Amino acid sequence: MRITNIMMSQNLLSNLEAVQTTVQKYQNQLASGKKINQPADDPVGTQLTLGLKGALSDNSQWQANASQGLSVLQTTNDTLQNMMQMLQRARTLAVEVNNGTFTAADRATTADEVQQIQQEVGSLANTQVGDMYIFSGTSSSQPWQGGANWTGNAGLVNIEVGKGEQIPINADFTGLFQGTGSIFNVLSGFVGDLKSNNLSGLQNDLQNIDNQVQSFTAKEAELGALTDRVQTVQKNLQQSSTNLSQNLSTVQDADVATVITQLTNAQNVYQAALSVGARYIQPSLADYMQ
Amino acid sequence: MPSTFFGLQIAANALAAQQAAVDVTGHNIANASNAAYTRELPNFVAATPYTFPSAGHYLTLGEGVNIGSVTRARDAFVDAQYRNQNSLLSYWTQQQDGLNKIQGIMNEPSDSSLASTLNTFWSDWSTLANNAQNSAARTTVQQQSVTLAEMFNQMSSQISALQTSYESAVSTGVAQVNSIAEQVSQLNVQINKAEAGGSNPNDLLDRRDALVDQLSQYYQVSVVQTQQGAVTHYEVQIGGKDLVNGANYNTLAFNPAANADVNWTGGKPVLAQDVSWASVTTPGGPAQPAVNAAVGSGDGSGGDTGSIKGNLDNLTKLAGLQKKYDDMAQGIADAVNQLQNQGIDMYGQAGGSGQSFFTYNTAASSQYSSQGAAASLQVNGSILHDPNKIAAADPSGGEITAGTASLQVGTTAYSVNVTAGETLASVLNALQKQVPGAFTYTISGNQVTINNTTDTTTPPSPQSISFGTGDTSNLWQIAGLQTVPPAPPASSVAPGHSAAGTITVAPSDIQSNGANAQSIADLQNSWSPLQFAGNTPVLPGGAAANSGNPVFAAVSVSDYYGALVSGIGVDGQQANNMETNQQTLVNSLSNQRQSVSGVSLDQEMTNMITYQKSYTAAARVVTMMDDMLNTLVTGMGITR
Repeated sequence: MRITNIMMSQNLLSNLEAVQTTVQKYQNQLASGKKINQPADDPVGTQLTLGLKGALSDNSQWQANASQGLSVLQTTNDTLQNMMQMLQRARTLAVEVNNGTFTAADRATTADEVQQIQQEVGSLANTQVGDMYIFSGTSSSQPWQGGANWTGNAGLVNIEVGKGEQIPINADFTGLFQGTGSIFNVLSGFVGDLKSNNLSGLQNDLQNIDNQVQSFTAKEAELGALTDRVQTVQKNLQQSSTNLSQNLSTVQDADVATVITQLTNAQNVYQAALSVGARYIQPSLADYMQ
Repeated sequence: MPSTFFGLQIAANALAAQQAAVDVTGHNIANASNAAYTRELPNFVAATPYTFPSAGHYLTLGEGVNIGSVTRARDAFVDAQYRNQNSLLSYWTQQQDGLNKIQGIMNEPSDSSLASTLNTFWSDWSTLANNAQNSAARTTVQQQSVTLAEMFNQMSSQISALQTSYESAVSTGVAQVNSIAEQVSQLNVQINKAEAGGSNPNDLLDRRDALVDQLSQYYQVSVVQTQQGAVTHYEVQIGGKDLVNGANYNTLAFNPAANADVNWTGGKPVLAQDVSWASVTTPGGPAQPAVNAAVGSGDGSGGDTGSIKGNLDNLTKLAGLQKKYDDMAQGIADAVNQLQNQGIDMYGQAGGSGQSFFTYNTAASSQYSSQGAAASLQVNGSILHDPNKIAAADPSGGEITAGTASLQVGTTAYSVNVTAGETLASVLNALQKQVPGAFTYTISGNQVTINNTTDTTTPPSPQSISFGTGDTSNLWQIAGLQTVPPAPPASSVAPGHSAAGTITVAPSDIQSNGANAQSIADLQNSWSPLQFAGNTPVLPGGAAANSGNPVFAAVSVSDYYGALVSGIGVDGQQANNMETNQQTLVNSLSNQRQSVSGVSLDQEMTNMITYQKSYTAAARVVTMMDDMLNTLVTGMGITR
């Protein structure tokens, strides 16, 4: 083939461009740390990346939901335990006042303390986590309005902790706080019996308070089971988040060692091309003619 | 017998011929870096010999040398190949350019793309679901929705801007083609005049070839040359139709219509406006194009490659993309609007007081203009004004416990078994199946309306349907209704009470229920929270949805978008590969061409030495002849 001067310079230029494109590609990968910088770099990988990012975003939302749920459940548990202590105190009082040595005046004094207990249980029942009244179901208004007035409902508040997987973070507390068998009614009855010195009624009240203790213990167990469930889910979510991140990294992140090696290689080629070009473009016969 | 001075004449011819050859070499060297230049060759021809009788026969003596012609070193076959491949290269360069720009607009995968905005959008709904009363969570959803809408607006306007720039690229290309056609026809006239005068208009031919090379960027062209006597008739054709025919040329036109630029056929965009033949002045015949006919036939016979076709294809691609973004924007808006309409806001009102969450306009299906859903997607003003109007609560989203739901129609009781987790709607549906046609119900916002359809008395008695007192399904706790409902108002239903009226849920009972927001968040992974009529989601107020929106055929909007992105990625990869291959091919053809036509300085230098030495030698012949004549004139004869 006849080689002409324009051919030489055109070839040199197009080869230099090709090498520069390679150098730029590796530089991009290094600078961004990603081997997919636009969909054309790896269409399948891009789709995978989008899917994995969506899954990671889901996962972190579920983790946030779970930890929020956990804090509600723990507060509920603590509050229930406080209420149990109040109930135990009320029970101690009920045992004491059933003692025949107690006078009517003593019982009236005790009534004040029981009333105090009822107040405290009521204010505990109005505990909030954020804007949520933890004992009021799905109702957003303050559930305990004094005395035995309870406006909470039995609705469950669910959090999503997986695709279509929902866990309630409260329970149906209407059994504890609403209606004739509620703690407020029991304590009110107790107060009434104390004030009226109704001895047979006081016997019943002791029984009622015992029943309350049992109901509270049962609810506590129910919440404990829920707490366990949320904690297990949280651990699983953390595990799968780690897996997803690893997968994402495998698909989209550049292997720095490989890329640096490839970049160095490409740069060497580029320098070789430049120095060869500089030598081979220059001379012609004209340089050697007298 | 030749003249005494015959030898001087031979030397003079040689001097003139060598000098001309050095001139040609000089011209070559001067154009060594002109890529459009074709190397010229002086063709030495031995002069017509002198024949004379001598000693009974004829003797023939050579008369030296002449330059017969100066010709171009050109290979028309490589030219044709080069032009074909060059037009393909231009096509793929434009495709690559378009796809690179589209990928730039998409900006995937990155943390500031539509995909990440969507992810945040859905998870903000999920956060709202957990904190339905929290005004910060509401504001976050509101603001993220504005971000999403703006993202779509921005995508759409960037695509529109790109469309405008490709339209003007096509127009510029067409203007270039017209200008080249005119120049080629003028060169044809000059060349033919020169040829008729018997000369070699090499530099004019070079200019014409360079123009046709340039033309091959825009369209795949073919050249037809026919020898007519001394002159060559030159035609340039696109898709088998004359662009230039001798001294005549035709022009092309591209008039992008303002609004109706795309026809949708079979779900694919077809540009309504193609480049067409505008004025036709070439002579009739099969190669004469019809006025207003599209340039290029689409059957691969030409006109289907080149930068203009590449840009037209970019326009088609952008129109398709615009449509896909419109579909996505509309799909998301329709889905969110439907659920929003079913929910309850912070004021206990239905669906943000009956207003849509997103608003958008639809473009006519023939348009790719910037007026579609993606361009006009907005968050409804009333929600922007007051995030409490976001309907996060679901009136039927409460938990139903397992049990039996019963219904009394007249004297007959019907009951269905209910499993935990069913919704009010599903229980009412089941009851409806038990008592076919007995009643109808609608759930709208926080109101459940049950209408008796069995009682035909006029006016219908409202007392014939009642829920059984044995209802153990906690139906009444749904949506936060209390376990033991207070004495219902006349229009309400409760266990043991008559039905045909309205259940109204107290606002405070449902505000912290974020089930509807959760349903919206669940749209991220599937469309299952939606109610469909055929393949179209039911819209509030019976508004017509985009029927057959392909977004709803996908599993989810993310799924649809993922396929869209990877589709563009595959196209981009193909364009990159094709461009690289084509560039290699064009480089190699260009090398072949330069190998034949290019100037090699080494060769020219060598030639120059040859011509110079020949010139010196011819001058020596003159000196020699002079010496001989001197001998003849001064050294001979009787006058001495």
